[in-house]
Parts: sequence; structure tokens; C-alpha cells
Amino acid sequence: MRINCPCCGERSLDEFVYYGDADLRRPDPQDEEAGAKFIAYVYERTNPSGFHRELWYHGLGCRTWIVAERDTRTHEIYATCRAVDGGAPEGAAADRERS
Amino acid sequence: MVDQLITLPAFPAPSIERADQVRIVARENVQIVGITARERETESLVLAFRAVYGLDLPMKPARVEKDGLAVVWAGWHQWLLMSDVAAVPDLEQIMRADFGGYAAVVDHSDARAIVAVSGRRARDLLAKGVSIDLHPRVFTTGDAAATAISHVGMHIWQTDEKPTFELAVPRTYADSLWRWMERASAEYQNSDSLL
Ligand SMILES: [Zn+2]
Repeated sequence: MRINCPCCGERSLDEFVYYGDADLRRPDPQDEEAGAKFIAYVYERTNPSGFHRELWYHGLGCRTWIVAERDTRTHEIYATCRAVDGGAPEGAAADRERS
Repeated sequence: MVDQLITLPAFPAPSIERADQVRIVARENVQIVGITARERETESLVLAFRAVYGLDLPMKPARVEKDGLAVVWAGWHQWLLMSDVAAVPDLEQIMRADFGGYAAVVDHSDARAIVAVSGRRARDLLAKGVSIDLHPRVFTTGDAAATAISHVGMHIWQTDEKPTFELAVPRTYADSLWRWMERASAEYQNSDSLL
């Protein structure tokens, strides 16, 4: 698998570290249900078969965090962007559903 | 800064010569300063740098040089600046005075070591440890990349068409890289081998 780093161009998988779901957001610790929400945040994953937005770190390269949109069945990568440019995940998911 | 590590050799020998095929040279006494643009200050930094040094900070992996000052792209809005110790006494101080308002300025001289690899087998040698394509069709003089050699993170750039490549690795890996270079280049011992 090769990943197109927005800064460096296409690079071998072994330059990257996988960091999982890009759309997780840390719950508010003051929330009444913070305990349950943190368990979900830390442990529960949807493990989708197909489209997945995920974080990759270009550690042996430019050291940029990247969001990749990947098909978990085929490893086809539809798009990559720097994580700081990733926009609101809800927005990106909504955009995708509309298109 | 001259009392720091940079005054000690990073590599165990000055050079490795493989007949007329490949030459590996330790580039000692190079000052290396990293600059990272502060948030929303990239444009000001680029303009200020152009005004003072007549160089455009590259916005993609590339290297530019003027009057003994080299600039290598080192990541998003980050650059490595290099000059010889003999030419500029304290590069970090100068850069901080000029651009400290627009960028974080950090002396990397003690953190990195630079080796130059040149000659007609330079690409063949590097191909043994580097996963990016260094063929002249896609990588040529002025190009740079942040990648790895033999699992060690590094910056690489090409300075001329001999070709000469320079590699900056963490200084503590200099010995390891040197031994890798010795073994990986051993097959280029004789000028008529492998021709
Ligand atoms: Zn990168």
C-alpha cells in the first residue's frame, strides 16, 4: 500500500504509523455520562467494511498527521489531506452522503 | 556555539573512496538551524527572508542556495538552513535576530550529521537503503525529500549532476549510517567491476 502524503507525495506504507478512526472526539469530562462516553471513545470501534476516514502519521517523512479516506476491503485510498485541514468530520461525512 | 558537539567529528572517517564510482564524504562543521513558521506568519516570514537573503523559502520539498546559505524544505512550513561554521560564526543567533518574530528558530547543529554521496554509482548505492525513486526523471538537482535510509529518518537533497546527494541524519546515527555506507558501497571497489 502506498499513501499520498499531501506534503511529500506518494510514499511507502512503512514510513507511516496508523492511528485509527479520524472522527473520534474526546468527550467532555464534565458530562453526566462521561464514564460511559469515555469507554466508548477509548474502546468502541465500528470496524467498517468499506469507507473509513483514518489518521496516519508520516513519522519517517515530514511528520505530518494525515487523514486518509480508505476502503478497508480494497485498500484503495480515495483522498488524503493534512489532519489540520480535515475540517469538521461531521461536515465531511455529511458532504459525502450528499454527493 | 563553537564549543559544542559540532566541533567533534560526527563520522568515524573523513571519507570512503570507491575508485571512480562512488565517493562518500563526511560534511563536518556545518551549522544547521531549523526554522518553523509561527501560525499565520508564513507569508511574513517568506517576504522577510526574501528581502534579507534574496531566497524564496521553498513551499515544496526542494533546496535553494545563495552566497553560502542553503535552505532545505523540512516539512510543512519548516526549513533547515545550513552554512559552514567558517563562513558564518553563529547562524542561529543571526536567524533569530532576523526572523524570530515570524518563526521558531532552533539550532540543530549538534542534532544532525550530514554526509555527501557522489559519483556515477551514487544512485545505485542509495537505492539499497532508500525507498523513494531517485531516478533523474523524478529527482534532480534542487530536489529534496524527508524519508528514511536503512530505517533511519533523514532529509536528502541533490546538489549537482555528478550526481551529489547530501543526507542529514540524527547525529547519534552517524556511526551506524557510516558502517552501512561502507558495506553497501563495498561492491564498487574496482573501477571496472560491474561494468
Ligand atoms: Zn509527508
